[in-house]
Amino acid sequence: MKKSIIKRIKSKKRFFPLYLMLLPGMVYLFINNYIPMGGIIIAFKQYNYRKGIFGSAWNGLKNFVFLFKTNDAWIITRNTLCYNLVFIILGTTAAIAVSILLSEIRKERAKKTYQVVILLPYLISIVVVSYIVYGFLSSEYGCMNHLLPWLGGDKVMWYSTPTYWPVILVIVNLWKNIGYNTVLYYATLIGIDPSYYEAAVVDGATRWQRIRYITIPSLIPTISILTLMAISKIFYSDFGLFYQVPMNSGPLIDVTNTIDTYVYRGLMETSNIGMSAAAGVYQSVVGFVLVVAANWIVGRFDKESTLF
Amino acid sequence: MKRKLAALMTMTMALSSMAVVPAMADNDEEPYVCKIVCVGDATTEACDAVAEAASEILLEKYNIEIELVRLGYGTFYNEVNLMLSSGEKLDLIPNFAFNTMTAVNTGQILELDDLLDEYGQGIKEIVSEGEWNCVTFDGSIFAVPNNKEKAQGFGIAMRKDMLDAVDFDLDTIETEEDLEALYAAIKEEFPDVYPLASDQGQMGYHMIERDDLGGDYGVIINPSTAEEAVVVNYYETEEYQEMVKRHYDWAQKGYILPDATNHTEDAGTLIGAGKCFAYYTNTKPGIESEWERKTGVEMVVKEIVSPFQTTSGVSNQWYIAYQSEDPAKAMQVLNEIYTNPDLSNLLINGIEGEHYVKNDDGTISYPEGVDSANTTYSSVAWVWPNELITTPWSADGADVWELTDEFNKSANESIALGFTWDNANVLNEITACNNVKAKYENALNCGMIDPEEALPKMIEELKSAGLEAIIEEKQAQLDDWMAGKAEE
Amino acid sequence: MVERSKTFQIVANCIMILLCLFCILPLWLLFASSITEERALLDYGYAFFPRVIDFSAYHYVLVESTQLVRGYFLSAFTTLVGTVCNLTLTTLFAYPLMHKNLPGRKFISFFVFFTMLFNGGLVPSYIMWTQTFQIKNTIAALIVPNLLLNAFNIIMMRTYLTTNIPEEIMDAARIDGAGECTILLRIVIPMSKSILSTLALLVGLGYWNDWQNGLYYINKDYLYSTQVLLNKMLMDTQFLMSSASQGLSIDTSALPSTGIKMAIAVMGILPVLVVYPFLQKYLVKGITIGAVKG
Repeated sequence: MKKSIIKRIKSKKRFFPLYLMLLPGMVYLFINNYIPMGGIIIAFKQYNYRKGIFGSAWNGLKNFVFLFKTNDAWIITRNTLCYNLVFIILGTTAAIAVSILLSEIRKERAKKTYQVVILLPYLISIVVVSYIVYGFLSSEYGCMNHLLPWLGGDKVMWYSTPTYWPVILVIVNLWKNIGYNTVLYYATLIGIDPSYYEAAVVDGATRWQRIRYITIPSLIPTISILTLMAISKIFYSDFGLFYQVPMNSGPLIDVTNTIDTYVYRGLMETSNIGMSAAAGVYQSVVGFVLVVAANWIVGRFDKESTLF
Repeated sequence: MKRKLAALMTMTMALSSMAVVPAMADNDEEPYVCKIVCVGDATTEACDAVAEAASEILLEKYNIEIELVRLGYGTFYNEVNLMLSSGEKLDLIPNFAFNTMTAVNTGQILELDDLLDEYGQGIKEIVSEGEWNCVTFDGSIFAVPNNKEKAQGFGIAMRKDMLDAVDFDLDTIETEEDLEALYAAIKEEFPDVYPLASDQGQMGYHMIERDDLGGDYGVIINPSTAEEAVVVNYYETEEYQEMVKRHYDWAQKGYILPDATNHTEDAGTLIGAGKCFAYYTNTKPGIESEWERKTGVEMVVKEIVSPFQTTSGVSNQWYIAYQSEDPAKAMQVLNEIYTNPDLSNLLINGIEGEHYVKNDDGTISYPEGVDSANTTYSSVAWVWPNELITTPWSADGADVWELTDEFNKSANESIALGFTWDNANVLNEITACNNVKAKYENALNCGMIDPEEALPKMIEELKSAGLEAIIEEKQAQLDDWMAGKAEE
Repeated sequence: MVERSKTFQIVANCIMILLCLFCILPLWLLFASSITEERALLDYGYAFFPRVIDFSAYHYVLVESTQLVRGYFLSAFTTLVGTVCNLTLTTLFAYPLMHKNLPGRKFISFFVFFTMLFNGGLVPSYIMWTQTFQIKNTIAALIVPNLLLNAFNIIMMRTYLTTNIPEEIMDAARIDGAGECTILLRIVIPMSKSILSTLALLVGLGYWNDWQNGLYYINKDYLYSTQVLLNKMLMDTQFLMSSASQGLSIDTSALPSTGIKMAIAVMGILPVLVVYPFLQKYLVKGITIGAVKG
């Protein structure tokens, strides 16, 4: 009895240095991530700079009511959701196709080179991406507007023509992320037991049959987990992609405004912090619900893959 | 081993907290640091040097030191907004790009009545009663109007060399429409040049006499001749519709810089580089040389709308930010800038010998090898509180400030001069309208999108965002004000 | 069969090569524009094949303008310091979490995870960092906010440790009387070189590519890192002109501003391109571990 108590104390003591190690990180996360969470109360206030966050008068749900009364709420929700859906569907399909292709290529060196190259765009900062896009689309100097007349087309004022931007943004996003997604699926592919393929070859399966009946089924767990994870983040968007790349151009706002850019504009360009915060809370809450839901769904299929 | 780890951890802790500087204790001997944030291009180094020289003047008299930050035109509003939301140290700011009433209603700035009485006597002597009315909200004064030209006319600033090359009779120009022939002539002579520039992606000067009644939608057209004060939606007026149609047509003809809204250069740079021929401007004495400083080439200005005076014409003002730790000291500084030519000169023109040199006739000019483009401290006189007490630039002429005085006296007055309005009841509507405006206005003004299609859409969206509520509110307040004025 | 397979290989390789071109051509455009002579740029626009090759944009960027070089060093410095601090914090955090019997482990894990779900937004963070911690216009502003530790990396590291370091080794060490610090330094860290390299690459990339901290917390020109400079120039061409010409007696209209933009952008990605081929395998590993259990 006595011995076990001593042991327990000793073991408790054993944890002490571990807690000490955790301390700096806990403190940092508390400061950097938790303290600012208190700021969401701004969404429920008629924000007055002088009175500050706590001193400003409450105005209940007025900010939310007004947000949803305007067209903006609908547009930013639509844009955020639709872009993400397209990104998920197109990104996944392309990545799967490319990773299968990559795994079928025999020359190791070629394989390696391809992998290196398609991952390159992933490393480029979004600011530089905006410069590249500008290099293509600038109406005066852009190479598109110099190529189009040469091909017999007309010049296009890219930065003031909203019609093209959904396509442009999808292409940019695909360009930037295809390498990343391919690597993900490729890793799963090379983990497939080669004996399946050997058996299939012996049975006379064609390449297409092998892909159809072995490769794709083995990818399904990865696909479903990654897709669900992406869906859980469907209410968030890449701020740089939607703000920097279109260069914050006014005529494009209808097709480039997402919840993140709306929050930013509300904060920086209109001084109406309350409404901006309301949009932020809307995003957090719906985003949170989606994460929990996605996690629950993942958990039903595969307990191991859940996030928490 | 443990020691090493402990050392490592101390280091990490130290690094993550290295920025924590203990706040300086306040005591009587410690000079108060007054932080001024202003617009205009300048290097941090030059700002520090100017601040140091300014501190010398103020230390003796008030035991105050100056901290000066100047921000680019494109970023000023965003950055100051961030400073205001965070409540970080800030004392004096110009209203550049801020709407005074919104600033009042959101508590961004302090009321100044008592401070002015106690520490701002110098300012009170210079600013007239009528001007104070323009910055009075709900019975309190919230801003100090700049002492400068107080009316505005509109016109066009053109490159002299190109103008001479086409030999155009400027007397034929009476309205904006008349400029078309000039643009056509320029385009023919210089096919690579876009006659009309944009200014940082905007075209803010319209050749239309109007009083925007303190901002936020709803204007009076031709306010100096109007008999009744009727608030109308600017975008629905014939004048505006014609203008955007004209601009669209011009853009199609290559008279306006394509993709104008995405050019972040200012008009001066575009004209100076020979890419464009002209841009619209306000008019005032010395405006030609102001343009010459901006562009670096000879310029000609032709007035199209003659000068008139509105409440917003007293549009350049200074605020004391709500978070000022010692508003009394901030007011002392403001008062000193307003009345002390040395201090004003320093803040506006920089350091003698480095940013300017004195001439024999009592004017100043750039030193050898320095010009408007490469100076480390750009001179933007009108944004500072009192340009009229500074030494004029040689290009403006020694008598520019006297001319300004005459200009002020000769201007026509708007029917609503002195009216300020309170937007507290419609703040959210204004935000929603601003979001709509951000989408269309610049592109329409610059002729980038077809107004036949976009203008009705914009008006419709504005209406659904609550524009009519704003205009009604404004009209009601204006009627009250007019009634009050009639009684007097 | 062999014949068909050969055709397939050719087709597959062709598709991959096209894809690679799709990925790399935009970067080439950037580079080609940066070495095109200014007049040719104005006449023919940004083009894949420069009509007249000219390196004067680089001359301005690297020789004439001190600001850009300074920004470069600043980026390098913050990347280095930030990465080291981040890795230290992450390792210290992930290691205790691999002890399954650590009391409170569940709570701590949730504490970490929750930061991925909710955030308070820009304004409250900004107020806190500038008011309480006074980091505005200090180098710390480029290092500390948001980038010093993130939940994703902690989870990734913990997953790696639990799956790659057998409990038996650590138990053996404990029996020999080793303390937790010794185990961490002598056993765990040497065994996790590959995850540390991966994290270093991801974190370093994050620091090098970061422009948001600079945008919010810096307004002194001597503290602009490369990405902040790039971002400022994107929003404000005036800034480019003035920062490139300030203090120099040069004719600003002769400044190759159209090409300079692109040259700075190239400089901004150059270090990444140089380092990347050597670290590519770690990056691939990182992406794989990170996503499967994120």
